[in-house]
Amino acid sequence: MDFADIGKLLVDGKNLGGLAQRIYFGLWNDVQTWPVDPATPLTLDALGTATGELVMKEGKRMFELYTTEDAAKLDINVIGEEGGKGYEYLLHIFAPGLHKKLLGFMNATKNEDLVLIAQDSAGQFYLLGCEIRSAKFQASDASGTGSTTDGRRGLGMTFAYRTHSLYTYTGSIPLTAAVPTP
Amino acid sequence: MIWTDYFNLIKVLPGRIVTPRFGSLDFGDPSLPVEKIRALFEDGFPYLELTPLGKEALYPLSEPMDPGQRIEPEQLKPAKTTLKRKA
Repeated sequence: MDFADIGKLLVDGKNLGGLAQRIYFGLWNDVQTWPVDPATPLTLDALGTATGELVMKEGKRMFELYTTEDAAKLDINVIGEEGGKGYEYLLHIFAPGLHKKLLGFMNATKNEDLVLIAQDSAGQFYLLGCEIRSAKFQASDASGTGSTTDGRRGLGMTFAYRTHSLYTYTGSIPLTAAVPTP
Repeated sequence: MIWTDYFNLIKVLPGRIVTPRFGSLDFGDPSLPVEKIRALFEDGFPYLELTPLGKEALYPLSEPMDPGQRIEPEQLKPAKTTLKRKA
């Protein structure tokens, strides 16, 4: 793999912060095949891109969750000791309201192995989860009814995923159930 | 002609798929633009396969397509069109 000069690299000058107002979630065990590490990346671009598609098991699909604008972010933290460094994604979202469907989602995911996909404002996707490691519900912040009438009801959620490498995900996200290939 | 004349949706039920290139598309909608579906197919989108009519109309002089095979412009042939004769 060859190094390369790295310039400003803002495509069309675009660099708006924040995330898209939809994140995608599913059960880690419902994934049939995962994108993989680039096999023999020859460029830095290739080294930053996962290879392949997220494919779900028969009858399974990914789902969509609305998140409030300017209330979601994806943090990327470096973890590990010297010689053992990796990364941790922390996906923070805020789902407005306390609808029973949201409460049910919190109940179902609090101890579950998950797969999540977030999209940033530049249109880039990030996959939280891989064949050997799931994303997990980690914490809840700013959740509840709020204390003032100019506050808001809702659920703040943080999901964590640890990985050895950072990749963009360039595949598709099936929001419809997989069927057997004839 | 609609896109389902040229392509079959495979491996999933008709419904929404978020595509890297065009965002969320509802593959249960027969009115999706053929050129958009074709572009996905040529990108290697895993949920499309050519129908015999699709091969004849969109890639008439090409070998059987492998999804993801990049088509060079000189290989593309326009679909056959019927010219109306003047009375």
